[in-house]
Amino acid sequence: MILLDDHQPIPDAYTPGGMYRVRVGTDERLVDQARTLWGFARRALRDPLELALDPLAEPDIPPLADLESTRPAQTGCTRSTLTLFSSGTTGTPKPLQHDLASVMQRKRAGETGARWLLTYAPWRWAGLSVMLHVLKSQAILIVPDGLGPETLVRAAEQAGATHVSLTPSFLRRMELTCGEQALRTLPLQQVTFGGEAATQPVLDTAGRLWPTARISHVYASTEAGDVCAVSDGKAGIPQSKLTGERFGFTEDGELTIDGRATGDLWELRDGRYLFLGRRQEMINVGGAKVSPYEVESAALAIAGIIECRAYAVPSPLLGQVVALDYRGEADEKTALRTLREKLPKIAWPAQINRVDTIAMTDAGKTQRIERQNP
Amino acid sequence: MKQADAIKTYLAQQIEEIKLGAVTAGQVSGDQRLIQDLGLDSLDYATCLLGCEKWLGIKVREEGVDWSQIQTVDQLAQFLEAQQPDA
Repeated sequence: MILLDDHQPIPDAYTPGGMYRVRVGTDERLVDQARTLWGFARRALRDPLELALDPLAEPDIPPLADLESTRPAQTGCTRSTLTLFSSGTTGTPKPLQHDLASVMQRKRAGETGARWLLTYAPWRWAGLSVMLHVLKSQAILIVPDGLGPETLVRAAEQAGATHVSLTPSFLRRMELTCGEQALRTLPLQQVTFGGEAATQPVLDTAGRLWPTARISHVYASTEAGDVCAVSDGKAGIPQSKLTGERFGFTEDGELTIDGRATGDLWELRDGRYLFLGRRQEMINVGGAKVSPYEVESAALAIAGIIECRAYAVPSPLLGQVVALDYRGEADEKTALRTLREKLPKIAWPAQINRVDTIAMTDAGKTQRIERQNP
Repeated sequence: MKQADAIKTYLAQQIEEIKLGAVTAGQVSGDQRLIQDLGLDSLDYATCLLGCEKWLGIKVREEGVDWSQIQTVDQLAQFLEAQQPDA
């Protein structure tokens, strides 16, 4: 674990005006990666620098050379930029360039003395975003030795983390692995959820664990950067926050920002936008769309299910049907019966599997797209 | 490899579960049509198929399958028997 603050030296080894490719390492190299990115982010705030995260890090993303035609211009760099790669809605990774000054302008300065725990891979938008927020606030970043729940909780205890940003899935994973008692002892003043829908049970759990902390959830994406934050303790985003020139919705509820599709589907209910899921995560059962979140929320309310993921499996008859993997003591038949009582028929899992682990991405999100073989 | 009779028994159990006990396994016979006689809809049918895939450890090959010809419990059991690698 290391602590990064404004007094860390700024590295010189970069190519001015060129793409700096940050190779992604494993958990063991997390500290080095974070230190490197921290240094370059600080440098980029001072001098023009194009910082691009290496897409070779992702096994399913083509080499940088294949993306040459869409690569941003490298000459005449006068402002610092961050380039991240996103598969967006098309599945084809494309570079997305952010103007660093604009990104920083949209960030609100937080408390100077805050000690933020880095819970995301720093080469992801979520991790970079935390890093930049800490830089803007002149706060301290706690970089753990790995991204596993035990390592994170230990780092938070040892370094006295006061602020944390995490996905709802990761909170659940931390609860399961470390226990509520260990989490309660963390002196958190701010808990920010992002990356996935913060459902009401998730917000309530956080409120119960850290009753004096400010609990908020943010909506951000690699494409649009930080969009909005909500701190009223309720799930969903107030309609007013996604209203205005920048925002639009397609007929099926996909949010567009500045005319660009986000791939995120929303439903307006009682004055709030509720997140249904990523377009690619939606399960198309004979033409009807089922949100994995709806299935997961119902499953998590069953005694004996402590973690789960809903996803699509191909069906020769209907195109796709719902499958559910879960961890916990509940037996499959009971779980299935309960879900059938709670959910509309179209959302009934056609397959349910009790498993030992639930796949999670290095952005701390539940992996809902990869198909598990029967 | 499982024979059609064993698959039929498993199918009957699947149907009992899917129909939440409205049809018991003992009431299911081979010549009954899944949709018209046993009251399965397309989602029930898909669920049944997926359950059998998991149980048999197979992935149904869709190419050239005429689903209109697989209407009864016997026909589905025979179809699944033939889908197994050793068939």
